[in-house]
Amino acid sequence: MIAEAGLAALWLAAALALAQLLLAVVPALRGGGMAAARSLALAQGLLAMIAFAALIALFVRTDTSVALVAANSHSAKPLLYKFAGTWGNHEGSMLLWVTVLALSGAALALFERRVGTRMLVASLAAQAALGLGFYVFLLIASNPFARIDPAPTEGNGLNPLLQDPGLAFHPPTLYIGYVGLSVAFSLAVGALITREVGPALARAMRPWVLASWVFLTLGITAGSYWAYYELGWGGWWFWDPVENASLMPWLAATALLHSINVLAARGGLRNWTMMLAVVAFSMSMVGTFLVRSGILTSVHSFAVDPTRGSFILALLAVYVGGALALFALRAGTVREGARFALVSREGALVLNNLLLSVILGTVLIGTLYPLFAEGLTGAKLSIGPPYFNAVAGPVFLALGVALMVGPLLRWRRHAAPLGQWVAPAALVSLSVLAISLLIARDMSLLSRLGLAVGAGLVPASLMPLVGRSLRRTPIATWGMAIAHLGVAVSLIGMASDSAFTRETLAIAKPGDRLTVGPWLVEFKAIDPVAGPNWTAIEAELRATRGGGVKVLRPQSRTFTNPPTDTNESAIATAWNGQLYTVLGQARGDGWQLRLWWKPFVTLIWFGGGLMGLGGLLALFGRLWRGRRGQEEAE
Amino acid sequence: MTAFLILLLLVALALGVSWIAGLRGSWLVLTASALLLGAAGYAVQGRPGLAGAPRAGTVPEPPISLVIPRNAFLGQFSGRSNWLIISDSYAARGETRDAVGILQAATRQHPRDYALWLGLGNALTDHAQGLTPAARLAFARSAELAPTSPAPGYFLGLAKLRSGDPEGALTDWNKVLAEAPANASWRSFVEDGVAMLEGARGAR
Repeated sequence: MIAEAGLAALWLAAALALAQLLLAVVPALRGGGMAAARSLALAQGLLAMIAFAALIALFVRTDTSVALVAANSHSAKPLLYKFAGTWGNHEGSMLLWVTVLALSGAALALFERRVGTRMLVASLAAQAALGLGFYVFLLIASNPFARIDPAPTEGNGLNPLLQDPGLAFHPPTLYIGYVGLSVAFSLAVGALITREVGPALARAMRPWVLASWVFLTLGITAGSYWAYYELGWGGWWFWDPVENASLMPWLAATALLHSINVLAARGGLRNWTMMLAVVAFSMSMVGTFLVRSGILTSVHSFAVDPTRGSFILALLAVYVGGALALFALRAGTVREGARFALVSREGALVLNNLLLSVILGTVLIGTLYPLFAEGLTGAKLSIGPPYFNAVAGPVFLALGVALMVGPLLRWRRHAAPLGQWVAPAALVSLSVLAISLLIARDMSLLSRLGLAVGAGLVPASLMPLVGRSLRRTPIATWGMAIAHLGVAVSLIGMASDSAFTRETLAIAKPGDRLTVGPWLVEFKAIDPVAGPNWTAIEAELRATRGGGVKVLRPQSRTFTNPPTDTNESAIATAWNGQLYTVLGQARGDGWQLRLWWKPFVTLIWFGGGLMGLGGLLALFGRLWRGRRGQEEAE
Repeated sequence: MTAFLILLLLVALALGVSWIAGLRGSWLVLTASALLLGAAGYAVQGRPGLAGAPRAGTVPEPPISLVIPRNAFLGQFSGRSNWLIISDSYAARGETRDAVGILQAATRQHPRDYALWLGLGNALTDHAQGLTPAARLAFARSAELAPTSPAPGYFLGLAKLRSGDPEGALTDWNKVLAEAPANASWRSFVEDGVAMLEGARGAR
């Protein structure tokens, strides 16, 4: 009965989304106003949540009468993976998408007080329209509650690569980020419809975009670390289309976040903000289309299951096309914001937006080009790091240089000399550049410049705090400084990893000794072990460097349901990097061993965490300030 | 019937929330109409008569009991049999991972005891419901430690049979049989196994 309850809740939620849309669109129903829109959004959010909870219950109980559970779960799976398996598949992840969308709509209806009723009703209708499309998609093309009769005696199991604690958190984090951008999109659409583009809109949009940005940042960071330790290749970013699908909304959200600040503080960059709100959510939709249509495997797999792919493509065309058409119609009516000089905080933020847009375009072209090429010529192409690093890398570095100066500029017009503020950053950058030329001549230019810019960005990020009373400094300013510091720290980690990584590949047997970077690694033993739903061959490695000893146990695992072999890396973390080990197959009388020494690689994720923390502080600071302002007004 | 009752409850819940949120009069009627539309959609697509089928994890019994042949090959009251008996009791309760864990501890204490490695190979095969590289490693280590013993070859063959590889099992058992003394107490187990597999091959 749980499956039927879930399906019924989904149908009812879809019907309420339709009612909510009609409320704003049909002239005769417009009198319903805020009370009607709010109650429909709340009830819809509740029903969507019930549907998703029902799907979780079905996965936890391994109810194989549900086709989705039978295809993606197994009774012998650990409870955590039964639970997380709910969104480890197409239908479940789309239901999670629509649930977060409905809950965002409910939260918007419940808490938003900064914009007028007309605009809020229009925004809720836009949110309902988004939801409605996805409800119809779920119910017609991707029903998560579809039943099978007779039910199989056992499920097929979950892809072992996804049986990792990271899976429990990574997709929901990203989805909250994606769907949070839908609220920014809906607010932008509402503002364009009601012609109320102004600082109040920016203040309403800001917490949503900040929260989305924080979740996307943490989701991408966690996903990168998951891929790093789970896939056993020692890489943290592959420029894979699925990764790019999450990076593109993040780039757009980053630009949007900065534009919103200008709109909220100075009333400027109105059209930029509207455009970026549309683009940011569009990139979420493009990402969803790329990941969920099957088109990434091959253009031809899109033809194998055209219903789903075409459906998402149609939704993409309707939503993004509609929003862009609305923007084109109303852009001329959006009032011009406050003017500013080229050298000003606003000018720097426009440069920031331009550079982020160039990177976004570069990533979009690199991601979609192989699909177009295959569609037109049938030839399978792969675009990877050589393209993305060469094209997007220098723009990232230019962005880093702009970041050293931008936060130090004043609003409207900056006339004061900047030398004393920029000098420390420039000095650090040039020193690091000189040292790298002396001690690491074989570094690539991009790594060398990345290291120099990242190092200079550390003091530059903290410069906006210099000369202030730190206790009186607004929390949002702390957030900005910490987020920018996070960018610097990540950049240093990326450059260091690509420049200084050392690798050793060997066929080894117990008793053998290998070296990698500063480490001496002794192969002590190899033994069979068992886990909840797998067995494995586990190596015991003893790594020594100076007086320190680390014991690592990489595994070659065999999962039974479905039968799959995976390599579980073992990683030893030191203050200055990670020793990464992977056990491969048996070869002759030995075993394949891959060892990497990755200096300062941890800074990549530490920097990501700092960015997320900075975003959280900014969010908290803005909300606290808004609340205090409200209390004072009362 | 229950499904339609749940549907009714969900409709009531949605209306209740709407009412609490301040919806009144004709707007409440509009909401009820929308919900009716949703309910109609469910009525078309739902399968209210179909019961759920939750599954609990089950451990299939090994096709041939391992205790009797193991005692025949290794003897019943050896010093290491305690470990094997404890492991057996865990496996019998379906706690196959703990059964493996007991024998891992045993092999750490007695790394040169071929019988414990053999038991570990069997326990890993039970846990994975088939022969995996980990179980293979345990059987290989057992064979290394007791190159003249027939037991590792016999139980490796048995694991292959349990993994759906009767040809592999037959090869291993024929090899064991070729080297088996005529009066060995365990010989009948191997002969019976070979006969069964050859019979099955003939029937195919």
